[in-house]
Formats: sequence, structure tokens, C-alpha cells
Amino acid sequence: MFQGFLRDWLAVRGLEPHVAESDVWSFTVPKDLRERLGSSELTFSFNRKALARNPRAELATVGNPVFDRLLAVAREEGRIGIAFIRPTGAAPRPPAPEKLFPDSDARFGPPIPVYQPIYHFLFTITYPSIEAADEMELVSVDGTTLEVWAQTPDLMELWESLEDEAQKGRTALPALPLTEVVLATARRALERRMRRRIKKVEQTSHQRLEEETASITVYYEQLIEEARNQSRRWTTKVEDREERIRWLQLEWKRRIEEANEFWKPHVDARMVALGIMMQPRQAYPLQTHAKGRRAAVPKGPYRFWDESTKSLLQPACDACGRTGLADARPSPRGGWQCPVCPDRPLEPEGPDGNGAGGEAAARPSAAALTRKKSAR
Amino acid sequence: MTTVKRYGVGDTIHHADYGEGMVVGVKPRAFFDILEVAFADGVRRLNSNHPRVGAKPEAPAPAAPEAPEGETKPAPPVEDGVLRIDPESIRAFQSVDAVPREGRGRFLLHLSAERLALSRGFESLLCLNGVRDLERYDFQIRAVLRVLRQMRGRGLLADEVGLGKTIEAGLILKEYILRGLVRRALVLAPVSLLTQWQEELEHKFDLPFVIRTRGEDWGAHPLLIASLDTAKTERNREEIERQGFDILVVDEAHRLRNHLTQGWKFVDALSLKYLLLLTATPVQNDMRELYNLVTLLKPGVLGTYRAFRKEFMVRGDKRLPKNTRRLSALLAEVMIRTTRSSTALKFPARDVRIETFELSPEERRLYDGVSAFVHDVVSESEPEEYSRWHFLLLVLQKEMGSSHYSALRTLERSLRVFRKGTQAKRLHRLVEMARAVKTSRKLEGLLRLVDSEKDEKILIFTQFRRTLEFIEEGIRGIGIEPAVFHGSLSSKEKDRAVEDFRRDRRVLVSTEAGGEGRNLQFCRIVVNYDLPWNPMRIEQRIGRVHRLGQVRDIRIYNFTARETVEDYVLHILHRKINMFELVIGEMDMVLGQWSERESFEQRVFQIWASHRSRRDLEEAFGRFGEDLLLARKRYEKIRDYDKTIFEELGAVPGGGES
Repeated sequence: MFQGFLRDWLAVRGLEPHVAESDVWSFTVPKDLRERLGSSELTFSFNRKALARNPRAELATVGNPVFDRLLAVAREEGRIGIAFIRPTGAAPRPPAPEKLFPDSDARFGPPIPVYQPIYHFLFTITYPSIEAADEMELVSVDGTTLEVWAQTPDLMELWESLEDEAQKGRTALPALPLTEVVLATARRALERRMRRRIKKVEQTSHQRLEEETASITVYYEQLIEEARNQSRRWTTKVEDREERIRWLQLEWKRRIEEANEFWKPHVDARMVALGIMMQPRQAYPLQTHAKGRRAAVPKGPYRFWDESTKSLLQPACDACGRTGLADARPSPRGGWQCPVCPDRPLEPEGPDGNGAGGEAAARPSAAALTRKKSAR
Repeated sequence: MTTVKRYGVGDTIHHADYGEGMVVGVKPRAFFDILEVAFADGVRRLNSNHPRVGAKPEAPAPAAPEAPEGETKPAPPVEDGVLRIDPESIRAFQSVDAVPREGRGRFLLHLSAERLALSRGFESLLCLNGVRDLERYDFQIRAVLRVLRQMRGRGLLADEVGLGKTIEAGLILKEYILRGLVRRALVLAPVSLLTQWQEELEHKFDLPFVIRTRGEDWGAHPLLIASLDTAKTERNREEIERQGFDILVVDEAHRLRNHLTQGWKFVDALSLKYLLLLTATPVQNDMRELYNLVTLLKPGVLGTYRAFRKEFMVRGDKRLPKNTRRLSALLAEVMIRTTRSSTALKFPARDVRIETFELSPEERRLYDGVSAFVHDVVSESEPEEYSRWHFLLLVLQKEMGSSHYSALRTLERSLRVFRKGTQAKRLHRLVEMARAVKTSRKLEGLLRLVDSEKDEKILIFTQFRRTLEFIEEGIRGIGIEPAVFHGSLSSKEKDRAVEDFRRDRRVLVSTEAGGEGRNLQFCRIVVNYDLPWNPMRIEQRIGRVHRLGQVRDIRIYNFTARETVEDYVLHILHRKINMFELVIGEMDMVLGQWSERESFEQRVFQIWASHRSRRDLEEAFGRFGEDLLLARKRYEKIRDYDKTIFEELGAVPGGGES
């Protein structure tokens, strides 16, 4: 595991390790990282026995400060990755718009082959209030339908199977910046998935808090009781006794507050990586009649047909995130929205009259896509 | 009819004027209760039915922050519940407009790094991967796991002397820091051990602790070391409370055994997530001390003192425990006690040899000359004047015990201080005398020793850099290339020196500076070329080779010249209190019982500088020795009592047990 990581770390920088013995690698640190890694030459050992033979070597494992610095460098880079699904075999023939939308009042233009993003959000989950190992949680959201994948793949394995470059003749729709609605969907999905685990954390924390509160309460009640009974002694002044009781009561409160703070259940999540997987699809632009013109002009938004499932995708509302809209209508942001969803304030207008912000700004106009297609 | 609002002790209530408070007492009346409520500013009595008194209101959901115009849109509001999604981590992705051209390799590497960086549960220790020069002992690792898992970071590490409490504390600190559970840590140790703590934490655990020297340090460094005496003063106490450390480690925690002392009150008042108390003798005089230490860790675990006394102390003798089975079960929740016998570790024997030399006539003349000079300046100076010369004279006298070569430079420098008068003339004469010394009996003896111990590696200690150079040159003169180790070397150079010594150099000449954390167990011969006037220093020297992991018996050579300060010091330490028989760590305990205000070194210098005749010196050093002997006896009494108590208690588990 650690050897594989180091090999990859060196490979992405075009470095070759000097292998003194099978479990001991040395390499020259690139100039830009020398200060950070604290040396111009590093030696790592992958087992403890070899470490004993090479006292200047560092053990390649988590917890070793030098190795941790390598990890930190890797964690700062490459947080976003993009890869493409290469259609295998002959591409399926997309249905004609009339067949796909037979009952629709709106008219759609001919299909355009595109790539559409499916977002894989990687979160790390830590449980600071209880003793539990950290976890990773992957949330995969379809950028078009906002559907969340029920089965999450192993992101590394998935990435190994994808291509670096887009297929020729197929336009990749912009995947960034992330829209609020996609992020909100990912967040909601994460919260849903974490429910059961959170419940467990809450139970554990509450149980421990109860135990501790009970112990503190008994202790201070006893102390106060003892302080009250001291009044029988002629040596104790009433004021002193009262003062002691007040002090004990405040101390009691402080301890309880500390315990509450310490055992407050919480789970921390951090988004640490985003994999954008580009899915091959066919885009059907909605056509509108421009004033004074007879011909229909593709103006968007699009409806999409998925090539792998060979099905028409139901759009999601770009205002509220509701999915599977059968009766969607174009939204002022250049996407779709549900009929009941109140319009949100429009972003400042872009030159083509669509909203300039959010998803609309990120997507090319249908005309642009058509132009690209004709140019090819 | 009005209904009576009922509150119970421990309930949190809200008062319109005083804010939130906790009910700490309830006195029922016919139509209402009288509540005693602890608010932030004090305890008040309230009528439970008063309209301004109510249950704690639900906190309103926080509004999503507004983003200033022109900036990236705010991240989605964070759930104000148990799950906290870090908004910054989301914002970092939201602000990216285009996919960075870093390539697939870096993305995969990133995923792999994230996966590796995940913390596992406490069933495995991350810190073990990062520690250096550390022998792993099962009992230590089990002790660490018990503190982390069962004691939840609040424990009394009460292993017997020499079993590595510092190492256990270091491992716990490192583990918490690696897991992000501790960001600010404070270690409180006796002044004499501050540097040793710093060195060990830095070298073994890669934890850059800073010794607190100035007021502003409390806030400036997240990892601090200070002395308990400094920390407990009123000004520092407030500052420490304000800074809010996550963990506090108190070494020699028996200093907190009395609940009436400032130290105990200071630690008790701190709000700490984790607290580690380290002591080999948690019980010194009576059982209350143990109660006080445990109460700092977990108040209530042993009940109130009255209840504790009733249940666990023999009536009429507060030194003896009863109900030992139940008491040890309770103690097991907060305390770890590993004994030497339970570890089955073999500690090698020490063979101590004293090499006393007769100074050559030139050396003797110089030594007596310098001693007389020091004596005269001390006795003739006004107090204010004396405080100016004090340090210089102290160093000069110590250097004379080390080598004339080292003293020569200080004598030359002293000429800048004493420019005129008789003292200046005397100094000139002394400089001449020092220059005239051509041989050193001690060095000759050392070279003979190096020559005779052909098959062994030899570790030679001196206090002074100049002496180190002198020895280095001498050893080179007999055709041996020594490794050298001193404070001016960088950390890497120090590592290299130790490595060279381990590999192919027979001799390492070292000053004390910065070597405590490094393991030199492969060597078994230590030469004290000069003798520090501080027994702790001597112990640290020996501790470099005589520690856990040393398998062979060790030999210690103490070099001293007849009728010198060192001769008297050695007499006290070796013959009077048998210091070299003590286990590492015990000398500090003995000195802790020596209730002198001044330091050991000061006392030695004061005796030497204020007595001239041999008889007076013998008498004064004799008295000093008696005091120390008394201290050792006191310590032994405490140690035996402590041992008896824990034998009586029987089953307080150590790291080797669960």
C-alpha cells in the first residue's frame, strides 16, 4: 500500500527511485519541495527490519512525519479529476425527436452527441466524540437528473476504467463551476446516509454523558450535604459554610457544563475530492420560433437521452432540486424547473438573454453546439 | 388554579435577566418550589413559578451567511446538528471554474493519500510509526491504549521509576496530535527536567515543544513546556486558563498531592479535555494524597473525601487502606501502575569505578591559585558586586575541575572584567600559569583507558566544549578518530555523529547538550571526564546507556583529581548516598526530598567558596552529605510506603495487565 503510494508519488513527478535493497528506496527531492520535505534526498524503508539496517531511512507509513509530509503534498494536489466514459462498440442510434417526444407541445431539434457530468463527491467522516475509525463516503450525483446513485463505486477502481480524453466529435458540456443545486443534493444525500450512524453516535455520547453527569451530581450533592452538616461544628461560621456551599454549587455547574461540552455528539464531514465522470449522452435542444422568422431556432434548454440505458432522462428542477420532472418547463436559468416551483430571482442577464449565473452560464447555448456540429 | 412548575436538580433553566443556569437545589413549598440556581455570576434563589423563569429555550437555527457582493456564493448552510459538514471544504470546490489540468495521476494519488490518511480506531496506534530511537515495550503500548480507550485521556501514570512514564506520555500526546484531537498541549515538569522533556519530545516524537520563557509564550506556541511553579502563579494561571489547552501533562505529579496547595487548585480549576499525571509515588504520606490526585482526574470516582475515608481508610490510621479490592477496582479506572517485577525486564548492573588522579605540580599550582582567587573575590566583594562576578567565578571553578585548557580561555576573558588592581595582577599570573601547564594527568589516564578497552565503544562526557576539543585532540594523538557530539551541531550532524559512533568509531566525546533523546545502548562504557555539580546531570549521562534496552552490564568511570571540588562532590554522591546504585529517575526523587531553597550546584559552590582549610571543607561537605543522606532515607521511606500500599491494593493494573 505504502510502496504503491510512493511509486505513484514519484511517477507523477517523473522521478525514479534508487532501490538500494528491495524494501529501501531513495530519491532526490524536487527543488520546489525540498524546503517542505526538509531534505534534498530521502530514503524510505517499507519494513522495520530494513529500517534497522538503514538508520537514515524513514519508515514509509502514516504517522511518520516525513511520510506524512508526502501525503500532505498529495492531498493538496489533484483534488478534482475528470475522466470520460468511452462508448464501446457502435454508438446506439438516437431516436428522432418526433419519436422521443410524440405528445409534447414543444419542438425539439435533432440530437447532438455530448458528454454530461456525473459528480462523485468524496467526503471523509470523522467521529471526534466517540472512539471510531474515520470513514470515507462517496456521493454520486447525476448532473442532469440530480439522481443520487444508490450503489457507490470504488472511485479509484472506477477511475482506472475511464479515459483521459473525450471521444472525438463529442462535445463535453462544462462541468464546473458546481451549481448550488448539485451541491445541495450531495449534501442531503450524505445526511440521509449518515442518519443511522449519527443516531449511534448520539446514543453513545448521551450514555457517557449520563454516566458522567450522574457521577458528578452524586459527588457534589454529597459535598454540599457534608458542607451543610458542618454547621453543627462550633468551629465553622455560618457565613463560611454558606460561602462553601455556593462555591460548590458553582463548581458543580462548571463540571456539568464541561461534561456537556466534552460529550456533545458530533460527526465531522469534509469534502476532500471531486471526480467528474463524463457520461456520453444525446442532447435534444428545445426549439423556439424567433420573432419574424419562420424557421425554428434551437435555443435550449435540452432534454437528454442516455446512450447506455437508451432512455430519455427526466430533468430535475434547477431551483429546488426536485427530480424526475415529467411536466418540466424551461427555467429562467436556462434549465428546467417544476411548474409549482416559484421562480428565484434571476441572475444578471447574459448577452443571449439567458441568466448569466449558475448552470445557464456554465452551459453553452444550443446555437453554439449546433455551430460546432456543423463545423465538424 | 396555578400549576407548580417542577424542576429537578441538574436541570438547566433560563431566566430572562440572569441567563442560563443549572438547578443545584430544590426546596419544595406548597404552591411553588424554591430553586437554587447556579448562574454564571453566582448562585441565586428563585421561585420556580416566577414568570421570568422557564425551561431552556430551543436555540434558533442559524441563518445562512450572506456573501458580500461580487464574491462566490455562500456554501450551503451547514447542518446545526450532529453532522457538521465543513463549509470551507465545500467552498474550495465551489470556487473552481474549470477542471485543473493536473492529470489523472495526481487525482488518483490524491484519492490514495486521502485513504491512507484516514485514522483508524484506537485499536492501533498511529504514533508508533513516527517515533524514533524507541524500543517498543508491550507494557508501555498497552498502557497507552488503556489511557486512550478506557480512561479517555485522563489518567494517572504511576509506573515504578525507570519504566518510561515519559515515553508513555509522549506516545499519548503524539497519538492525540496525529488524530487532530489535541491542538494545544502543555507539559508541566520540574525545572531540572524541562530540557530533557523538550529533547525527548522533539527527537523521539517529532513534537516541537517550546520551553516557556516569556509571558507571551502562552499564546504564541501551541505546544509548550513549563515548570509547575511558573504556571501556578496568579498571572500565568489566568493566561493558561484563557489559552485553553486541550491536554495537560504533569510530570512528578506527586507535587499535586495536597489539595490545599496552589498547584492542586490551579490544575483543578483548568478546563481540560485530557489530563495525564505522572508520578512513581502517588502516595507519599497518607491515602488522602492518592484521593487528591484521582479527584483531579475524575472528581467523584472515589466519592467525597469523607466517604472515601469512611470506606477506604482504616479508622485512626490514614496511612492504611481497607476494602482494598473495591478501591483497586475504582483506581483501575484512572490509574496505571506497572512494576518492575510485572514486566520481567532485566536491568543490567552498574559497575562504578572511581579514577582519582594526583595533579601534576603545575596543575596543582594553577588549581589552588584559581580556587584562592575565587575564594577571595567571593569573600571580599560587596553583594551587588558579587552578583556580577558570580556566574564567571562559578564557571571558572567548574572549568578547573574539567581541564586547564578550558579554564585558560575563561581566565583570559576575565581580564576584560578585572582590568585593574590586585585582582587583575593575580589573573595575569594565573593566565601565565595556565599557559605553562603542558601535561594533563586526567587526559593521560583517559588515553590509557581508551587503549586498554580495545574491544569496547567508549562514551566520554565533559561539560565544556573546550575540554571536548582537548580530549578530541588527545585521542587523535594515539591514532583513534573519535566522533564528537555537542550543542553547536545541527540535528542532522548530531544524528550523523551518533551513527558514526554506532558504526565504526570507537569513541564518542560528548557534552551534555542535546543528547538525552538519543539511544546509545550499543555502548556500555561511560567516562565522566569531569563531574557536573548537579547529580541530575550525572544521572542523565548514565541514562544514555543504562536504560530500557541495554542488555549488558555497564561500567562507569568517574575521573576526578584529588582535593578538588569534584573530589568532595563525588565523595558525597558515591560514598555517602550511593547515588550510582539508584535507578534512573530516583535521584530526582531524592533531591525532591532535600528541602533546600538553593540548587545543588549553588550549595556546592557556596561551600567551596566560603571555606578555605581542608578541615572546614570536609566539615561543610560532611554536613551537606548528611542532609542528602536524610533526603535519601526520606525518599526510601516514601518509596517503601508507596510500595506497601500498592501491594496491599494488589490489583491496580499496569500496562501489562487489563
